[in-house]
Amino acid sequence: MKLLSDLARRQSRRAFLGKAGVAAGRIALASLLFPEILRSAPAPKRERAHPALEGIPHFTPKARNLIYLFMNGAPSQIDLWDYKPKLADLYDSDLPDSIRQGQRLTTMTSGQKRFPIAPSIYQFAPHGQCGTLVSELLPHTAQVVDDLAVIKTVHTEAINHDPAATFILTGNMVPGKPSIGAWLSYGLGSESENLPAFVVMTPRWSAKRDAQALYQRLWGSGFLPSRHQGVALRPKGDPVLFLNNPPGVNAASRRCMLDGLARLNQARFEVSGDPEIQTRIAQYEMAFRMQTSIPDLTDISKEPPSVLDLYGPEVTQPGTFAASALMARRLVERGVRVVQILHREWDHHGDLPRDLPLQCRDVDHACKGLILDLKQRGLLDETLVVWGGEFGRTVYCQGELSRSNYGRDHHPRCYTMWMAGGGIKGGMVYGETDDFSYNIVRDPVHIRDLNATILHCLGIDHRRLSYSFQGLDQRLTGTEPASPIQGILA
Amino acid sequence: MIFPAYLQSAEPSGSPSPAELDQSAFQQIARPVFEKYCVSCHGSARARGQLRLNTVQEFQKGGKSGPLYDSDNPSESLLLQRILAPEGDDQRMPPAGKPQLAPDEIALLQWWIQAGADPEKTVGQLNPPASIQSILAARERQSMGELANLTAPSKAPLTPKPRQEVLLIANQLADTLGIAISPLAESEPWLQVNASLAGSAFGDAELAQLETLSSNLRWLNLAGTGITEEGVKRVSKMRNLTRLHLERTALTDAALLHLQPLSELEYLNLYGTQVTDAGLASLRPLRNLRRIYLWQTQVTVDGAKALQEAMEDKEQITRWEQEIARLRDQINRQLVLVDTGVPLTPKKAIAAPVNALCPVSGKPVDASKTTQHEGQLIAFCCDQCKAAFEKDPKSFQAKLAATDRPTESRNKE
Repeated sequence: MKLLSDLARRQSRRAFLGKAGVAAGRIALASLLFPEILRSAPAPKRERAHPALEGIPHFTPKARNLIYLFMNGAPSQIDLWDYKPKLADLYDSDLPDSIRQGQRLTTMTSGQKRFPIAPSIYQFAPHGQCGTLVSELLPHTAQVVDDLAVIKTVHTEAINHDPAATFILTGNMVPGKPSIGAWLSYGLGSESENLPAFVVMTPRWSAKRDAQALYQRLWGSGFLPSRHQGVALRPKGDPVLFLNNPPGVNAASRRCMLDGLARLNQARFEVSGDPEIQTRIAQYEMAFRMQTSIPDLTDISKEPPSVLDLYGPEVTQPGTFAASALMARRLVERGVRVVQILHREWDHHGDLPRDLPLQCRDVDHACKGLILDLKQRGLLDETLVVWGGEFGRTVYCQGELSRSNYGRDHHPRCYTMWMAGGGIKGGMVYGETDDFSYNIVRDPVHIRDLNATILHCLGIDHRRLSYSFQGLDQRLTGTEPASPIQGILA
Repeated sequence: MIFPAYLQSAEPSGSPSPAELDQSAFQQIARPVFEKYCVSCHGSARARGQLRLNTVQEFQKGGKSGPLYDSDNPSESLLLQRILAPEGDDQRMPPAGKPQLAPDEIALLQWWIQAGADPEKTVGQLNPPASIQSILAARERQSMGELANLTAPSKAPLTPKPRQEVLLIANQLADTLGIAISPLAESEPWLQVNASLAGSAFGDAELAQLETLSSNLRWLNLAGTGITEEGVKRVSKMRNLTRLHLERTALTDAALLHLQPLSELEYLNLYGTQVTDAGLASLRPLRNLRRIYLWQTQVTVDGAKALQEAMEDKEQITRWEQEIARLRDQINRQLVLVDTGVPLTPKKAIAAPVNALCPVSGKPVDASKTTQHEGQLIAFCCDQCKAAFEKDPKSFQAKLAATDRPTESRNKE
């Protein structure tokens, strides 16, 4: 009896009830009734670091890796991508109700008496062979516009940062769901044995404001086994804390310690069946391998100057977006499945003409560099690159409007993102907004559709990648209808 | 291009995929119709006839006229009565003036009701007949956009080994060689191999061990490995390859000759190798090659251009360009129609009339008295002649031909 109650106490509820480690759960349940079964339960064999699920990819993918450039805070589409020259005639006039159609406002502008239109003060020009119109603030990105599919009609329901970022990066405004990278790690696994499947970087920003906070859940694993969470490399100093052996510990003794630890953990697993123990063992193994793979990754001394020049002058400064972009290419070359760079402080409620150019200078050159560098190595065909934020910005001014200064509030109904690389048609613009960049006129793309497209390019049918949790077959795209954007698929 | 696996195993016209069959029938069939045509009046905002159709429960509850589904007599269900009511009948749903259901949608709803309208069941569990299956398959194809994949699936010069057999070998080899081998798509026998992870430790001897998988390999990544020309000779036997990475290896022009049997190759990466313009000529027989990467090689821009021109099918490109121009014209016409509600009329409708003398009387025409006939603008001297012509145009054809302005250009569209 004592053995049974001991077992019941040590039993992790998740293992007992949940799908994760369902085999372990079944064995454990059977072992409550027939304890001798436990002693003959097969020890789980050594697995690949990041295995794929059986049956995935569902169909032949175009891309094998994802680089997601997330512009947290919401870049202003009117000042960067969505050219509305007629707004110049409407400077300081009120946004008509026929356009606004009752769109809810944030508390930041709901108190405003007027919603005066703030035309962009920036010039747009056509670029590339496709002639896509790009703002003067993105001169470098404009040079690679023949490789980009610019989607002007992305939309969401969320109007504030936390729910919106959670929505686009995890598929639901309510926290607790796995992020895109976690889903891809779970479904596709990763080819590198020495690096995590999902790596995250959070470089610094230049706008003269405090930024919205980021949350670990934006790259978290939600209800998936925690081995699928993103590993955030620190922007400055050691990319991974406490990775290196302290003085007095060498690789051999470290290995010896880890082997012993693994045997202890394995013994615990055989008693309690908690699948998180397997995660723990795998993470220790991964950490050991990262002791060699991370220094190799971050050592850019062998990169030719011509390559470094592609990314701009900041590429050699750790902690910048440019340095992160170069890292992203190196990670993808080494078989890492998903790389996500979250660049902060695009939230220009005021002083947009002061801050937006600074932000653009952070990312513009490096975005071009990344696309060109991937392309010359033949990697752009096999890598999907996504750029964008969590919603757009309003055409009307927040705060005081003048000819040289304005701010914009949040706007969920239409905004611009771009995609490039494996499976995506370059040199095109998808969708059209109205003259106020307020409503979508043609070809709306919900952020669910965007996520379905990402999965599609990597060979996954978004309806079929699911995980049973809380009585529901949970999916990245949720329960509402979603489909990949046909118009941009190559 | 390779069709999605789940379509390859289905018949061309008509079975939906396993994914489609697995979906709840209510979600796939009933709910999209309700959301598109019904919820504006029978939804959360308004409930005409006390009926809502925005959730399953509301559907099952029904409205003022009773439940929509009659379990005793499904064919007589109220929902069917409404959507099948004749046009003009004021009981018909959706009501006149609102968008009407397409015949496919009616067929699907009808089948679902008659099959029991059970919201718990999936499409597959309700055993749809062939006619319903082909409607579902067609809708699925459209929504998944396989119509965009206009090119045929890649051919396979070698017959691949069965998937299960090859996966077992692949897993063992991956472990021993320290590389990644994984299937390319569900239920297909194709494999992708990434040996670049093993670096220079992977050489010709290791590549030799992959030979047993030759006929199943579609993607092979040997970037940065230690293979030599000997190894490439083995690669030439892998004739199903569509993607080949040879960048950052010690290969030279001689190796490129061995790639000639790879007729299905679409992607070849040679960056950081010793290849030169001379070697590129070996690649000309590879008619499916679409992308070649030659950064950090001794290939010159002229050499690359020469290869491109040698491989271009200029006639086909011209044909495609003409087809594109024709399709663009069609699209523009449609856009004009959509934007303005009026078809793009041929220019000559506004042009001057084709004749100088009245075909009825022979007198000089009054340009304000005109009529359209067979796409031409015909002028008359007076309204009586115009009326006479319109009554019987054939009898004046001869006279009309005689009065045609010789210099008038007929804008035939």
